[in-house]
Amino acid sequence: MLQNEVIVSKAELISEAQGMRAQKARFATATCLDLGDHFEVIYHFEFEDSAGFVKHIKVSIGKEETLPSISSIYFCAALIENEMQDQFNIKISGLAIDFNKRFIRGKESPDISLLKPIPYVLKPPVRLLVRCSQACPAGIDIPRYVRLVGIGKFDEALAVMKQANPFPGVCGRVCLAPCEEACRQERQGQPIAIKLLKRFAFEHGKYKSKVTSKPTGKGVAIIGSGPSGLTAAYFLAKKGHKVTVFEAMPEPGGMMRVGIPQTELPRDVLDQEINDIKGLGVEIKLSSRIEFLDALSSQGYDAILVAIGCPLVLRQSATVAALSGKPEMLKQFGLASKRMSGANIIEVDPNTLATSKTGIFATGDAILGPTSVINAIGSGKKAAISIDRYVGGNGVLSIEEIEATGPTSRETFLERQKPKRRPKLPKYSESEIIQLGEDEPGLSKEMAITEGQRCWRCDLEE
Amino acid sequence: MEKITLNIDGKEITGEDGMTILEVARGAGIDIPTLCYHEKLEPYGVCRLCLVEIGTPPRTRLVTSCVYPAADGLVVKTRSERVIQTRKMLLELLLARAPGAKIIKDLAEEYGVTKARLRKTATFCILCGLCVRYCAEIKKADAIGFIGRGIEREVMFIPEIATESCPPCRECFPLCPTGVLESNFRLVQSLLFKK
Amino acid sequence: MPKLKSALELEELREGIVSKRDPSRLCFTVCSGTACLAIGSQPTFAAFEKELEKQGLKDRVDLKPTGCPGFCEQGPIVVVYPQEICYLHVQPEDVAEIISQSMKGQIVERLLYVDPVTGKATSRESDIPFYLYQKRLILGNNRLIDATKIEDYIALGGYKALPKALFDMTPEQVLAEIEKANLRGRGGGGFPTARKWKSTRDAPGEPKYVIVNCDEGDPGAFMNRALMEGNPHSVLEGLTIGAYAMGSHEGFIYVRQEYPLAAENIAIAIKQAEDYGLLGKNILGSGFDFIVKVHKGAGAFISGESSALMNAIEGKVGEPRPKYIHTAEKGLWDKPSCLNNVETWADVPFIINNGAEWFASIGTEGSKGTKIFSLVGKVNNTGLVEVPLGTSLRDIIYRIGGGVSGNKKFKAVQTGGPSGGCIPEQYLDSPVDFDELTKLGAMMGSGGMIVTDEDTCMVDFAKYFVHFLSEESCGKCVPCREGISHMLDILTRITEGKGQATDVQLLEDLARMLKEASLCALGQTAANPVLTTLRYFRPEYDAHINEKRCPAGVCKDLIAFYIEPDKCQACLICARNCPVDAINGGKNLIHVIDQSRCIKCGTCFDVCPPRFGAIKKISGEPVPALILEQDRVIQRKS
Ligand SMILES: Cc1cc2nc3c(=O)[nH]c(=O)nc-3n(C[C@H](O)[C@H](O)[C@H](O)COP(=O)(O)OP(=O)(O)OC[C@H]3O[C@@H](n4cnc5c(N)ncnc54)[C@H](O)[C@@H]3O)c2cc1C
Ligand SMILES: Cc1cc2nc3c(=O)[nH]c(=O)nc-3n(C[C@H](O)[C@H](O)[C@H](O)COP(=O)(O)O)c2cc1C
Ligand code: SF4
Ligand code: SF4
Ligand code: FES
Repeated sequence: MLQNEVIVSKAELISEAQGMRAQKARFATATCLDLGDHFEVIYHFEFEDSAGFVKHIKVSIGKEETLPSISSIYFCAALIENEMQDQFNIKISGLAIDFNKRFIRGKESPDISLLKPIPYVLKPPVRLLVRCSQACPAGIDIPRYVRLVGIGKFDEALAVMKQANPFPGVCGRVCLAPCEEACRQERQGQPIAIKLLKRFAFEHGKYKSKVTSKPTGKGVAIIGSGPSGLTAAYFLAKKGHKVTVFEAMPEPGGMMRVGIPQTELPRDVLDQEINDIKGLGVEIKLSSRIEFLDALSSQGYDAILVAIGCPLVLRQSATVAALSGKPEMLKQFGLASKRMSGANIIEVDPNTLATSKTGIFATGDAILGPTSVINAIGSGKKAAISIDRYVGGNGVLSIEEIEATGPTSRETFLERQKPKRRPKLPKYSESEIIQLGEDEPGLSKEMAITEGQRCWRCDLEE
Repeated sequence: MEKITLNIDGKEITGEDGMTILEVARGAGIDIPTLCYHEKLEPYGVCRLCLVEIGTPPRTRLVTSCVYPAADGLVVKTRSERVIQTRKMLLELLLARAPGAKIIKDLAEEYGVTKARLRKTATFCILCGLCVRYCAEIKKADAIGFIGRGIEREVMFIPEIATESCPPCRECFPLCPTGVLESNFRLVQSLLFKK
Repeated sequence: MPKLKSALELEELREGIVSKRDPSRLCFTVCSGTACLAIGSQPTFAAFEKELEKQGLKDRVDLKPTGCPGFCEQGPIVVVYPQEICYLHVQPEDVAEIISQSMKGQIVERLLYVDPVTGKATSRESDIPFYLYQKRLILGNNRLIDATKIEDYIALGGYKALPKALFDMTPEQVLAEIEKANLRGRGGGGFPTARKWKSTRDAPGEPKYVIVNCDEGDPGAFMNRALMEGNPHSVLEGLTIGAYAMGSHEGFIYVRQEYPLAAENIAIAIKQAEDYGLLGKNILGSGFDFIVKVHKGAGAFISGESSALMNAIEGKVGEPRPKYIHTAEKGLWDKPSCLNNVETWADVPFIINNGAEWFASIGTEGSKGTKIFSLVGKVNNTGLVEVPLGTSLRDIIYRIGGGVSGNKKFKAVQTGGPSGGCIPEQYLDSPVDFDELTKLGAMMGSGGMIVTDEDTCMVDFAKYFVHFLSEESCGKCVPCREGISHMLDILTRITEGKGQATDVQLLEDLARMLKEASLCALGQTAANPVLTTLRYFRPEYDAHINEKRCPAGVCKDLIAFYIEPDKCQACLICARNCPVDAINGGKNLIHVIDQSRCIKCGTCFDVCPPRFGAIKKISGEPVPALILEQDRVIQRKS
């Protein structure tokens, strides 16, 4: 990006040029770039009285679009504009003198761009699939948010994460971070501190999730408020469905609340993210143990998602059933189950997560066996897509556009990466852990920005 | 009690007859990692982290210090290369089983276990048996026990007993090295106990 | 039945029994061990009863069900005494002929053993090569005894060692004799028996217990069962002598639940011995008291481990104890307890009867006496084999076992059961004894011996044992429970073609940790199958990991079946037999396999007529492209 550059639309170009004239700026020249599917035209102006001060107006237009000429304001611009017309085959209207693409070329010249494709043409960046994002079960656009932290855009970084995962705060604390194992800098033992950056962006950025679709009038019941159930609730609510979550325990969150120690996951982090989900209109009914699925089916839900987690409970329920004649949960639910590495899990279609009963889906630890928060989130997301399709949606999760600025090629970025090591954090003593209520400190602003810049941006073409 | 003298990591340490190596070492401030040991309980010897090397080369062997009786003249190495290599692999196994658990993460870091080479089998219970043994040996309540054999082994609350005994007691919860115990209890409580 | 009150009364009883028996009288014996029963010896026996009745011979000849002779593959086996004519695979319809021919002193040729190489028939049992090269010290009597009749045992000289020990020897002398014989435990570790006895004897604490270990958890092993079913008194006699030597007055026999016949026969034997005063109070008037109880245990492999076994007898969970004090000093109920294998106990009467020198003259420097092996797998003659320790693997496999079956090439022999190891061709001449096997990375174990041929994939083979152990680990200690299941995980992915370059290192690291850190011997030895296959068959691992190829063509994910177009005769046999209809064929149409449907069961490979041999098993290379539709029609000359 040039200094003193303003980006304007085609329609604003004329008034912007008039503004320059009013400020007594002199038109120097213009630059045109062929970016494959569109042109980028930059007009350069000089201010004589404040010696050497330059300003630029940048406008992007599609290949088929027509650019208004500024030769009515700056007559001399007609020269360069005619040249552009010849060389790039760009369409320009309102030229003071129009050479009709015969300014440089002769009468017999073919009517195409004179420019051969040249090696240093800036191509629009092609994003590559990267190992870190691929390793993330929620598929977070990791290099993007890491870089956003690197340039101090914390809100945007958080927003990027939230498009893929409703629990960046939780994951920033307890995620097993398969992404870091996949990071290319792991080979040197110095993977990017992706997890700590997540925690940092959560603590320093602001973002509120929004429902992005019109109400669909469809109702989905979710049993279990663990990460898988709530993730599904989040994405389904964003798609405009009415979601009700039933939770047996007196508080929501599943194993995130009762399993993971408070020092590892402070409860206000969890509460904040659950509140964000509730803000989408998701209703969570606590202390509501579901014993029979029929009870829900008869209430008119269009789909039911079983996100009851923890096979241990299922297993214990089976053992208790055998010992005491109490009915077994899965039996009561009437769902087909199977045994995997010693645990009872619900059998589902691996693609749709549909159970043996129509309209009933399952997700999370209940189908995977005991895993981790991030796997449960990934699984909940998959369930949301499948349920959305089942109730008539297109199965595409709503994603907000988040401003992406910054380098467009890896080369420009690589110059900047300096540090070679992960940041080292101090260790809390036992008493600090008790006093602060958490077992590890987070990154400081400086550390986070430096670490964000250390990313190699493997997603950009070399 | 008769006094005995051991050579631990090159230092002469005295203890009493009837003590285990671990007790003698800890008494002298020598740190040996343990997960399944608790001073009030019968040694159980299953986490194997407390392994130490005894004897003089070339005739040395690894024994679990929480069980092995200390004896006069015994030569003990708590951090020999052999001990460290074995502990490292044990920690890899434990890490696969309870990836988030702080005590295991910290030990792994201390021993330089960085690469996760094994498939995660995250049940978060490392089956140290502290809860089961505490309940049986100290509280004599047997509200929690092991079920399943071999790789299917798990701990389980016995609902009939646990409904009554556990809520006022909760003494075993803080003993659990991974914290999974309390979570299981709360789950079982809301899911299996009478409403 | 009057209790015998002295050694003399026992001798009189023996003479009485022997004098009533006519050694020249015709006697038919039918093997009746569990294996034999399974093959169907019961109907054969019944046919004999019926036929003898019919021909009115019941009082003129004898008929006897006996223990397992060990040559199970050839059962049901009938031996006709006194000539000792041995008939194999005897069906009920053969019985009438055997009886009538025998009455005439003639032989039924068609039921004799025929040497597969020379084609010569052998009539006498002991001339059959399978038996000829064995030394059947312990197992031999199985063939002559009806296990439910103590008189049979006594007639053959049984319970001779007991009075000798009780009246002619002090307990110390008995112990010295066992020590001089250098008897080592037959249950796995080969621990010197006398040393264990001494520990128990000298350990403070009363009472002291003696225990028989008949858990026999190794898959495929059945030598302990054969002894317990076929000759229980020999074990009882040994146990009683041991009890006398150690000053124990109470014994236990731990029998796995899966051996009901063994439990039944030993219970009958105890009852009969008590009735004769050979067990119980004041045995033979010597003043020595000894009682024996049978404990039926859940048949888990780990229950055979000494402390686990004792826990089980105490009524606790059958898991090993993490103790460093030997069970010989603090065992059952923390009292001194001596546990020995069935075969170890059965060796004792022989040593007392014949003397330590005689026993020590059999075997090698460090391993004395004989050992029973259960020879299974890819050999021509499978069954129980008893040989002097020190016999070479080659002799066992080739002379007794008759070589590798189906003319295949020998690959390896796994000794010592699941926690043993495999030994390749180049060590076939090694003498089989405790120390030699350990040197090769394998072990004696309780005597399992599995022969593999060129068609065995050694990675898959190791996986089989690790899988067995993963199900048998008691789950108590971390290294074994977690280590074995990760090992299985890794082996599984290697056989599925998903192995990684670092997997071998990881396997080795896990193996070392298992050995160093496991609580009991199950975990400590669990890596042996992996370590020995890695040591001797590393290229097979590399082929799986690097080339995604299974050299033996076993691992389903790494092989494909392909019909060679120029060999296919369009006979339709394979297409008809394919269980999933994956073969597209037709009259005069070269058949092709739909690889996406093929489940790699290998049926086509097996059924394709050998003269065509059109089906090829390929591994590590792509399946050739389908032939063009127009080229599929076979042009036949009319
Ligand atoms: C002690 C412990 C520590 C952990 N530490 C970590 C960690 O550090 N990092 C990590 O990534 N993962 C960790 N995990 C694992 C992680 O918490 C789980 O994998 C994840 O929570 C599973 O999510 P889930 O949504 O499938 O199920 P859960 O979180 O188990 O939620 C299921 C919910 O369903 C409810 N429910 C069940 N049955 C019914 C019913 N019939 N009616 C109504 N409600 C019902 C339950 O009450 C529960 O709230 C840990 C787990 C434990 C136990
Ligand atoms: C896992 C495991 C299984 C065992 N199984 C048996 C068995 O089935 N039979 C047996 O006699 N010994 C078995 N043993 C060995 C016993 O622990 C013990 O050493 C043996 O019975 C002692 O008898 P011995 O000295 O006569 O060999 C086993 C050991 C282990 C570790
Ligand atoms: S629940 Fe905790 S204390 Fe109990 S066995 Fe498992 S890890 Fe140990
Ligand atoms: S080594 Fe295996 S079988 Fe032995 S105690 Fe440990 S888990 Fe149980
Ligand atoms: S502390 Fe000794 S084995 Fe666990």
